[in-house]
Amino acid sequence: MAASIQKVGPAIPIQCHAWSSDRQTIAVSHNDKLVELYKQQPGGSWNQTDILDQHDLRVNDIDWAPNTNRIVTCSADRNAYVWVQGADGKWKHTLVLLRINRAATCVRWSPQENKFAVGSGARIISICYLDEEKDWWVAKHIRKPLRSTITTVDWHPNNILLAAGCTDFKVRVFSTYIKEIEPKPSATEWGAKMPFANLMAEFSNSPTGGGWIHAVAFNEEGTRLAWVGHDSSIAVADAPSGMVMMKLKTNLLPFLSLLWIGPNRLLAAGHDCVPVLFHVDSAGKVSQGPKLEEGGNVVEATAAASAKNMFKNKDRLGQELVDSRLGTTHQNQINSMRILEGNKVEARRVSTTAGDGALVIWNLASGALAGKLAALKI
Amino acid sequence: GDDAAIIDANQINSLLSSNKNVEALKLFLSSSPTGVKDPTSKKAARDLAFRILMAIKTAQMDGAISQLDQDSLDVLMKFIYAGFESPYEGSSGHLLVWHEKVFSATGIGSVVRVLADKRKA
Repeated sequence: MAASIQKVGPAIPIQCHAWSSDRQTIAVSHNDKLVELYKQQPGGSWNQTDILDQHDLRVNDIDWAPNTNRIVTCSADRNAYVWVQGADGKWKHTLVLLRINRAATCVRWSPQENKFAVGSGARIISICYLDEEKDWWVAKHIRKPLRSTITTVDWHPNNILLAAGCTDFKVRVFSTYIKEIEPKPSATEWGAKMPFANLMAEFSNSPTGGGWIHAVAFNEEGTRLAWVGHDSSIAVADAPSGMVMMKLKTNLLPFLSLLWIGPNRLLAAGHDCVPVLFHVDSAGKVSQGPKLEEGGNVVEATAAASAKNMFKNKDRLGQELVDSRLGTTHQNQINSMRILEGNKVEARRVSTTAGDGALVIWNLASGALAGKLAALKI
Repeated sequence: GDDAAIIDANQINSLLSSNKNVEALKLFLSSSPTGVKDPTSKKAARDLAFRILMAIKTAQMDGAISQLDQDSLDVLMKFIYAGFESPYEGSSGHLLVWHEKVFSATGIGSVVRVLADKRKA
């Protein structure tokens, strides 16, 4: 089956999710201060194995480093914790002092997993690295020229450059070079000089404003940067061609998350509750492809179609038949999407979590979806 | 950056009086009319938009819409909602027809952009 729905805990909205490197365990947060780990059982169900309970307020983002097996969580309580699994299987936490006075909104490990970036409502991005001598995480701040909440961050493969989307309707690329822990980086298409916090590129989502940026994503080589904004648009900036930005305004509701699933293919998902395919051609132009499944409201044709129930619904809801159930697998907006199997060059399976509390796994290589992907060649 | 409005009211009025209503609409929409800042000019822009939209008959709407690009349609949707917000006498029915036709061309995306864009009609 192309889309398979998984039950990880109660049907409460899931804020964020992250996979262990063997993909057997998933970390989720159900819009509260806890991070729950669920492990897949042989029968296909999910058992809760751990609860990471240190945050005081809602956990906004989780990231799980595949090689070092460390989990980082950040929360509205202005803190981040790094979690390490001991030999006994228990997760031990270390507090990271972000030195911010507003909520932390998003967090991502760098490709080499020696740094992580935390966006926040304090108009600051905290770049955290481990001070080996003192064995604690140090945070350095990127402030200029951020003027509003950072909503999303993504790392360039060179472990130095970081893209950040903001509620000031702009997307920026910064250098996070920390001389204490890494060698000087060589030049990329985004520029040559990379002192810490240097602004390498800035893109305005639209001359007319453009809406908050909800997700940013570098492609595999780091030559292109894609993002989605609240004005129902998707855009791609191409560094080698001189930072040219191509934007597509869609006819759909805004997207909240974005993934590269191929060198020229993007998958975006959000308020329409279903992932949508996009194609980027060699010039950087974005065109819309099919949705991964068809939606539309479904009328509940159950025994409820008796005369008594029809009048009851008419009285209670104003219409005879209840049609509030969506035809898509997810019943609420998708806010988090991860590659489950594969990578940015060839993603085979993708996972989504949404406001309906469901985890859905999409098999892009399955017959039905593979057909849509193939049809996407324009 | 910010496009300042460059509405040529005289040209638009002369197009309207010679019954070239669709031309007037195209000219209006391409002059960045949402870039107007001060309240008096904003009211003037809305008044002009209202006159153009009322001048175009229902039968001409589909033809007009097919000649507009995506950005112009987004601007048009903003002025349709501006007309709902501060209605002129007898305009709502006509505006609802406009809304239905623009919506079928742009989908819900343009309505989202009415709400999400910094620059309003």
